[in-house]
Amino acid sequence: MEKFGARGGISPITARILAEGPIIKNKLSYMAGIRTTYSDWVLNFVNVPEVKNSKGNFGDGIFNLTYDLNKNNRIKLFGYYSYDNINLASKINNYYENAGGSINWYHSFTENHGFDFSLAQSRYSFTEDNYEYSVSAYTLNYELQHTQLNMGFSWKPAENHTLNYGISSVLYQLDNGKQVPYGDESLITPTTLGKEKGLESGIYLSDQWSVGPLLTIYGGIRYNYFAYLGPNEVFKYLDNAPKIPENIIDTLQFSDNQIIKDYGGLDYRLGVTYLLNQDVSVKAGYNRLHQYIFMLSNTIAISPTDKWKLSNYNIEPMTGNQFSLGFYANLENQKYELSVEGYYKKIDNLVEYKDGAELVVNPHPEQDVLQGTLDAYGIEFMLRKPFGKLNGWINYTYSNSTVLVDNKNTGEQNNFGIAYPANYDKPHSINVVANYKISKRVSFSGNVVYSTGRPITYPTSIYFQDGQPLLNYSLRNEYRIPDYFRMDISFKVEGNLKKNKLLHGSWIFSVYNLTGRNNAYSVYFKSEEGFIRGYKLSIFAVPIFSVTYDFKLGNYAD
Amino acid sequence: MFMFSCEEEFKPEINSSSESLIVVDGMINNLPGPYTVKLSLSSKIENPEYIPLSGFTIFILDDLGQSTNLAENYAGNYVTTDPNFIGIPGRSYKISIFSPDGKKHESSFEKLREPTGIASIDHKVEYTPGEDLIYDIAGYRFYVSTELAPSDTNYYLWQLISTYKYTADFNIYWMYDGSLNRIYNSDTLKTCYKTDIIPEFFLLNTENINPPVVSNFPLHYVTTETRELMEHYSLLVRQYSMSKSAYTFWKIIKDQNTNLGNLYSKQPFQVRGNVHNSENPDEIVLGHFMVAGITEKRIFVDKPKPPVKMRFPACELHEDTYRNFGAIFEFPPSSWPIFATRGPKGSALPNQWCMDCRESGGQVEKPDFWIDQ
Repeated sequence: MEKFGARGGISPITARILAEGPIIKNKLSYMAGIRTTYSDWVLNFVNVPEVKNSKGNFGDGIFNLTYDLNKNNRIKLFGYYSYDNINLASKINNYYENAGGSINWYHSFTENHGFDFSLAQSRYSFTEDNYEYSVSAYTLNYELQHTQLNMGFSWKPAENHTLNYGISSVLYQLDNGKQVPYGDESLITPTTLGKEKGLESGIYLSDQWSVGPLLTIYGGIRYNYFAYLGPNEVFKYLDNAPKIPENIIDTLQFSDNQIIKDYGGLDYRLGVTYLLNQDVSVKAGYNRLHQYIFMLSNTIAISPTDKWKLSNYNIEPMTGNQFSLGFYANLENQKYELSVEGYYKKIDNLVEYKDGAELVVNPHPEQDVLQGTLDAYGIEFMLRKPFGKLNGWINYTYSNSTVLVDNKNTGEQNNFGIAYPANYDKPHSINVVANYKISKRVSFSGNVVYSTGRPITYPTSIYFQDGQPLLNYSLRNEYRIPDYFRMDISFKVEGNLKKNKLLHGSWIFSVYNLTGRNNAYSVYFKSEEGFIRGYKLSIFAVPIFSVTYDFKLGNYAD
Repeated sequence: MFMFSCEEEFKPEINSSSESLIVVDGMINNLPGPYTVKLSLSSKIENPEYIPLSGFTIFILDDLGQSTNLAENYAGNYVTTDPNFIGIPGRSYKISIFSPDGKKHESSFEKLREPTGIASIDHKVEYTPGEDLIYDIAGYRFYVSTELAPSDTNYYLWQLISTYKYTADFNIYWMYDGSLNRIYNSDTLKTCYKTDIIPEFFLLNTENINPPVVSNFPLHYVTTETRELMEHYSLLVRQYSMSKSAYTFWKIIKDQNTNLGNLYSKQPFQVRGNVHNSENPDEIVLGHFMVAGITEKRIFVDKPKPPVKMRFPACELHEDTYRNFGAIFEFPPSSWPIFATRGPKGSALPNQWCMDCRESGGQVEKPDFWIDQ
């Protein structure tokens, strides 16, 4: 890098700046940026109680240092930090934090043989304060640390072969946290949910083989090994019986780094790309993989806090098989790009909350989950106009993901053994982005987002037994929260286009959620004075106007 | 992320076919009948109501091919008509329900389990922390112990019915019913008896208890914050021995319906009962036909002795109650008779429940089973 550069933007609610430049010319360069919001200050001026009582804060920063030691060696340092504080209608306060850093060393032995070594560390954590009901108010925290070591080689033994091979290892350290009472009136009993550790290692080899000018074949295999490590205390359950307290037959103690349980598996993939002619290509692929970390989520909470968990003594790793097929075409002399991609995916040992599971606190998660299968397929259409006065893209996806939990060995089922939509299943999804250059200095952008609402289990009726009112629920994920729709527009006015100035500025006038639609973030139910009432929580349910001033050192076109 | 959030009431559109489902609520047991089966329809969640189902024909059948019919004595309430019909332990029973349009709903045969005797019902003074209070609140916790069960694995449900004697705080001195009358037998409305079915039921199984004897299993808690323990308290404990599937049904119902304030702490799911449409097994039928062996035991307990203090709110004759006495003449005929009392400062008009114990829900007639002290 030869020259210092900086750009940034400022609006009533956000500010960002990014700078980059050389420290030693052509040797050592840096890049650093920060972003922040100061929305609390603005929210205080909004005269709607729910809005006034809501808060949102976000900030992040990145830092990058690149050192070119010589022609054959480059070292990169990278760091980032972000926090995110969301307060929903004075009921729930979520505080998320992400921090990480990495060091990379690139080395080339010869022109055709290179090496990349990296060491990365990251930490994700959240704290949730839930104080909707003072007697059951709690604070819950969670932390996931991820330490990764990679050693990869890239080698071109022949003109038409590119080999990649190497080893990698990831250490996961989870602290499932503690649930403690929030406030003096809370009757919550403090619960510690325990810590977990696991080491996943792999060795891989892949080859990209250009068979001819029209055909490329890609193949790869990876053997991976996962060890769930102590210290920990785990329950042993009766074989082929539900994992419930009554079926615990032993409690096993493991010391630090002792292997509690290990799993191994072979992942592989195969891909073929074939050019039918200069403008049309077809791509087909298959891959199989193992996953030792999964996310537990549900659809009924006000604010679902997703927790990552490890496969362990009682929860087996997930395996997935995916087939994909795509067509890609350039139309009218590359004026348009059209693609159609389809896939079918099957996952075994998917982890799902079981019917009636405790969602917030489960010190022994295996007692609150069941493993099943996921079947998913989808097709995605994309039309893009990359250039021109009017450019943009239209994307439509149809997808279907269903879960079946029906364990023949233990007799356990979710939803009476009937398949149900996965928590994130949104069959229809449309995205449209359009940019129009009105004049040399003024441009317009608009985008439209639509998707089917995600599935949810609703209470559907009330009935009486022995004079007591009882709630009946729908089948699992039988209903959907309302569909999501949003339209945003913005105008950008560039500053003067004179040459040789210090700073180029532009003004962006934008409206987020132009139609002011009350999109549901979540739907939930409460019992109040003997009645069950439904509530919808929306975020940004009004059009939001904003003005941003963007600036950049140097000229418009730089 | 920067955000506005807003919560508003939301009525989801529920498929009407899942709002109106047939609900069965019935039982056969070893105690003398008649046995009752209630049929109703479930209702919309925003408008809970009991909708009785009339005109059905119901039979209870046993495994020897005998059957007895039930007749509707009032809307949705069906009772066995044969006065000699009684459930026999060891025999299996099921229910058949025929709708007016010819649909048949049935349960599977379930064995009427041999009931287990109740060895004792004990009570202990226990304290619970009071909200925002500097002292703890006392009350009685009841405990049940069973005799040795006739089989190894037993599934129990306990239902409790309480009856208590309590008094109003003041004697009646005046009665107004268009004219003001002096009352001389002033304590006729002072003592009442109130019977409540305790909404909470209790469950335990003996899968992991060997030998199958339940000892001191905690049941209901009665606090001194109400008048229940003021004079004399009686608890009728009804112990049901039932099948594992019935036990599971009630366990789920209990789990799902406690902590209702917070409906999103558990993964919700549909619970189906043991009655099914014979032709269409996919039809959802709610509720349960219970086949159970029952034993009952009634105990009486005295009010707690000092140092336990009663913490229920008592009436006081404030200045206002004297000053307001004149208001007795302004009550409309629909609320007559109106009672008043007399304190050290003259005639007073406190709340009616301070003199008329029936205003707190009880009745003055002493129940047949009642034993004082």
